[in-house]
Amino acid sequence: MSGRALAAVLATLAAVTTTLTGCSADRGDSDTLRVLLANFPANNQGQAVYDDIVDIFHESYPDVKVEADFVPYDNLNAKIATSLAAGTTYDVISAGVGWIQPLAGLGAIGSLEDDGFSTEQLEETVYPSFIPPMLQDGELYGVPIVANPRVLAYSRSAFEAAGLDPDSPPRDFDELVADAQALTEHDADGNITQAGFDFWAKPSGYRQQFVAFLGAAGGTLFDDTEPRFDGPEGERALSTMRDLIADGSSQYGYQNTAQTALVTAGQAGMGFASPYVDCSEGEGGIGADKCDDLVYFSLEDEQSAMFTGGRIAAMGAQSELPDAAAAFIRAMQDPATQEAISVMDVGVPVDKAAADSDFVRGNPASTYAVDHLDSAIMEYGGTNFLEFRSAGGWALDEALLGQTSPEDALSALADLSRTRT
Amino acid sequence: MTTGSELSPVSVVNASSPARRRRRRGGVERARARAGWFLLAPAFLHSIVFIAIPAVTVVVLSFTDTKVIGGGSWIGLSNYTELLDDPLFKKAVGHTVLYTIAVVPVAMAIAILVAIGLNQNIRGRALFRTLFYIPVVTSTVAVASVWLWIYNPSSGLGNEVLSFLGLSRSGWLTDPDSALPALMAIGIWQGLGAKMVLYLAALSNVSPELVEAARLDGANRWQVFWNVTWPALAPAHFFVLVTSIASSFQVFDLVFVTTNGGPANATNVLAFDIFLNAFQRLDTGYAAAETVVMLLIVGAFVYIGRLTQRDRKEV
Repeated sequence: MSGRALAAVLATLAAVTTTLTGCSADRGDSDTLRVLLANFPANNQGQAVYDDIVDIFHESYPDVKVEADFVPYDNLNAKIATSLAAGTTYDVISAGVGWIQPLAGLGAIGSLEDDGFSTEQLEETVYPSFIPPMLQDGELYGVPIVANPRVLAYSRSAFEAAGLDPDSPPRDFDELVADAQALTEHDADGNITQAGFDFWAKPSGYRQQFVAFLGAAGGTLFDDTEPRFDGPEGERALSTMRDLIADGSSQYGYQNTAQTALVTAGQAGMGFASPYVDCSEGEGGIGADKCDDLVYFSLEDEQSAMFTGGRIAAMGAQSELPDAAAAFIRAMQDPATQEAISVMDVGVPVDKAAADSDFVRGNPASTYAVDHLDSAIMEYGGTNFLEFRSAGGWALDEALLGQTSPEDALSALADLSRTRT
Repeated sequence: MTTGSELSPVSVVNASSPARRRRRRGGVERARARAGWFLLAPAFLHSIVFIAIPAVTVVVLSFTDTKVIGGGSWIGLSNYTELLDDPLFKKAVGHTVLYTIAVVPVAMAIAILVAIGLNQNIRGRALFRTLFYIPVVTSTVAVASVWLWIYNPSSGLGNEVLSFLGLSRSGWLTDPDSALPALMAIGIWQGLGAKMVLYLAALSNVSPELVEAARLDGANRWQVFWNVTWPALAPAHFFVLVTSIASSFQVFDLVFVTTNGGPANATNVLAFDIFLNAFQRLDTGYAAAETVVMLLIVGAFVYIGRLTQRDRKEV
């Protein structure tokens, strides 16, 4: 290769590298607010909700442009990781409850306490169970927007047909297993025609259900960053879940084609359900009769527990527009926004003031969910949450499918959470 | 009168002709070299920016505890020693190797059979070639969605076929024992078309004179295939083997869409485990170490493949 050719190649290389570096380091317009919205559907509904939030935001900051990325929860970390690596950080991140502590630990989101938010203020407006997941080292890093509870429901008519008292939901795990067995129905070939209990989970998707059972057994997921789910409460919770599958009351990983809760669809006598049920007779509705047939209840053993996920909003740690970012977060906290996101996320507003709203009281599932948010059990665990989220589904599977004991499965998962942090 | 240093016009012409030719030839060669480098430059730049620099970066990152933000600290071989004790990594390696060992030879064998069949003068040959190639150009997400329906335990085609044959129903992707084999079946089906095309191209290069000569010597069909066709396919075997091993180790999208590595970790493969560590746990350094190990394993597989080809040549 001649010297001139080499020089030409090197010069071109330098030009390309400079261009690429310049592109990646570009922070963009300083009057543009970059927002990452997890689980906002990229359809008309998601766009309409987003537009309404931006309209509220523009009442305070009319000249600040907003750029949003809609990502599914499964791609959220990838999106944050690549944006951080590229030097283009987000001003506002809206994600799930469990993300606050890991993202704060990584330095991706910052404390909100210098931006007009406070824990005391939050305690006055939202349910108490939502406060601890918002804190990292005692400081407020995020605010809840919407709660996504998973209620339990049973069919009154199925209870009657099975000879069970339709006014007595199971009061502990032993009753739950016995009732599920009684509710299970098979055809002549032995195929299940009505599941006794539906976890409403796909394969490897039993993590949140485990958190609900763990809460009812009186256990907690983490104490700060120390795993606590591998204690006796966790073993009892996972053993009960395994028994429900092992005795045939529940089909592991089974979901109907529409992926709706089987108890709502009339395919299970009892099981997890969403905090919204469409009682209309039209498309997607289950009809008034079926709606009246459903009775909502909470898991009980040592205590009453209802699993609750939720959407939060937080501020990017490197935001150059903290005031505008705070205003956008407030726009997300607006009651109208909470209601719109609740419809989209199939959740309920997190503000206590919304408890008596028509939106909540107009639906039996959301009414039950809001009335029991005090017993909400959430999935979070300091910086270890990502470990639990990443490997939890598989580890629980091994116990649920009888490949290992609940004790060993939980112990291995706890070890993983400790060593990989 | 001329001095010793002076040359007559004739002598100048005689003396300079070869030199001028050399200069002319040298000029053409330089121009060709320049053109070569010019044409090579885009690929060269691409290789440096998108392969060489990331590859070096991955190796460097594998010796650090980088967690997305910040450069991380140099921790030597800690990531690698941690990998040795990581049960999820070990399982992922085992699943990937198993997937490769099952998918690559089976897919190659079927592809050869299909290619030989479609190399004959049969009716609808072009249509069959197209049909076999369609899965290659179809998005994996679309392919996976169709197979998810086939593998649906309650209403899928797979269990309907099993029932029709009087066999017991399977959990397919919901059963840890059948999930990986179910994915292998998709992998074999999806990769068949690409291998078939390569073998068809190789078959078209088999010398008809050699085939004719073998037949004249009294060789039967099997002897013609084994002694003439098969050796002529050796370069294609090697290429198909290397690309198949590489793509088997890279299997990710299929797992991501269908099983997410489950149930009970039964379909967690290396590329998916790297993705989880890099983008779910945000442990960049650890994921980089996994990537380096994966490259070494792929390299070992390819080297073994080369050895088998070398043996064949020596024979």
